[in-house]
Amino acid sequence: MRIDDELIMYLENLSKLELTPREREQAKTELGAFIGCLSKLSEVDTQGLPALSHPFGVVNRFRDDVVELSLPRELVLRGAPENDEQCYQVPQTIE
Amino acid sequence: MDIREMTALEIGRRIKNKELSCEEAVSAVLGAIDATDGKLGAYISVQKEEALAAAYSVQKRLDAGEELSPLAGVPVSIKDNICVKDVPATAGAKMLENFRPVYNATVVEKLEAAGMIPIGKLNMDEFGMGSTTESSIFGPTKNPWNLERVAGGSSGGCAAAVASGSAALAIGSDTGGSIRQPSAFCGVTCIKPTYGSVSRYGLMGSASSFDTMGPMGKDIRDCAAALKIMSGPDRRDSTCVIDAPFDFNGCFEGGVGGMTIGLPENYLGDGLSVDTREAILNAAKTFESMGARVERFTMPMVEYAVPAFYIIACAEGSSNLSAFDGIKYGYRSPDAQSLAEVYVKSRSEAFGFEAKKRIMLGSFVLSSGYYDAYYNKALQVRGLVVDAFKKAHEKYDFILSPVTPSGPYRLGESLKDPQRIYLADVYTVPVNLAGLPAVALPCGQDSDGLPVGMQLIGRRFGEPTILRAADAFQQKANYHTRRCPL
Repeated sequence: MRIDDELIMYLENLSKLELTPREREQAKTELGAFIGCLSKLSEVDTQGLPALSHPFGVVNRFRDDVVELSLPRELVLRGAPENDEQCYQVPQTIE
Repeated sequence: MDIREMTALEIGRRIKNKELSCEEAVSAVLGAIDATDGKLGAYISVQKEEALAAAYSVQKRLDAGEELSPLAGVPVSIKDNICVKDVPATAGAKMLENFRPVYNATVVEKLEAAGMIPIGKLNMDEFGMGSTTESSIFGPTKNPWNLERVAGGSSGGCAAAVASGSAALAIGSDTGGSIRQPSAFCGVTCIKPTYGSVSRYGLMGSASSFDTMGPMGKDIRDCAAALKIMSGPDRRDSTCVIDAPFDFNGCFEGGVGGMTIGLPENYLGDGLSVDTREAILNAAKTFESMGARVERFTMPMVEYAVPAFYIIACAEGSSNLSAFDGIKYGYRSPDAQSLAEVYVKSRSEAFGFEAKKRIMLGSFVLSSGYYDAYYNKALQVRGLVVDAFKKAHEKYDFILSPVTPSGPYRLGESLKDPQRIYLADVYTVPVNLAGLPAVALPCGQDSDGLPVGMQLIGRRFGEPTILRAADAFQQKANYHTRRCPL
């Protein structure tokens, strides 16, 4: 499959990434080859077969809906690049 | 006998009998790390003070007569994508260079409760995305059998450390072969357990419907002892479907007499090195000499397993890695001026190229217009792979297979031809697609003197059978006792 600039930029946007011009060229070549290899699956007749997102077909398993303590706020914030000891901090989001 | 030569169970036995102290065991492994790691690059960090403090406290408990486990007092080394509270966990990634988890993974809690002593964190491909440990920001881990070769990956640090004696036992993770392939490359023994038998809580997600954790050690009995401790239900992981921890009592009795082993003919064809084929066929003869029956058969769907695996793995990987937004934890770009820039710049500056490529591929297969042709199709093919194994396992107690098509690559080789490296996962990824257990153990050496491994693939929760077969092999053949020259 041929990957053009438009598709690469679209995927960058979906992935919240911005490649350097060099990375973009490399990605075009390698993703093209990779997607070509993935297309082999079109040979398999899968009409009407279930899509198996879990190897044993297990679907949602819920625990009892009981309120319990989660990690303390101080610990959760410890890894954040910026915080004010109460919340995560980010640059201004509304003009 | 040098502690580095001992199995983990032997160390545990001597500690129990007071022939060895926990501190001596920890000091011996620390000494081995000092002696070898400058050459190997197996460790990302070593927790010397914490390990010595833990040795003191475990010793006190043992001296007070507490019964912990056969591995009490034994140092354990842990892959760097598994969280140990307050200890750096980088996953080999710039994104997590300064990250310290605030909780323990369930497996770490269980290992500590059993008296094992975490001693250091092991090198790996960035977020487990690779099979040579060359995409780690800390540099590659080298193969202790030949320092110009890779140790494999993504748990390359684990395998190299066990092989060199700088780890008594290691815990790795396996998404598409990540503990089995490096084990084969470095001549160590491992078990990738059934999906859902070991809690994934505290393991950084790579592809969540494939991810498992398993032990890597000097022999299969060490691996069984560790897996018994690690396994069991956990309310913090809803995919952990096992009812109770494994009980392997008596599982090594009886050998392989009466077992029927399936040997896929189509695994032995083009693409498999002559040395590996010979080693696998010799292993089949060894099993036959012990009373097993080996039958050749054709394993269907093999050629579709790699594409199906990579579609699902990249889709799930791109979703998991969306957690890295520069806000909650991990790297934030110092140049970001807006919220959008926090996301884009942080991710673009911190992810390596392989991770970026897989995230974009994941976005592609999940995107509108391609979802059905790729992602949904791969999930349907996965069902056919599951069925193919189910059918094979109706006839066979386990399937004997190579782990890798050839021996360890030269350093740098994988970067020139990434496509070939993906295809080399052909023997390992079908097992993850089906969520089955598999052991990998050494079964020969190639013409360069490097180890060759084999894989025994069991039924769902069929761990006791493959453990027994691997043990019978190791009682008969001594490939696992060969030590690397380092």
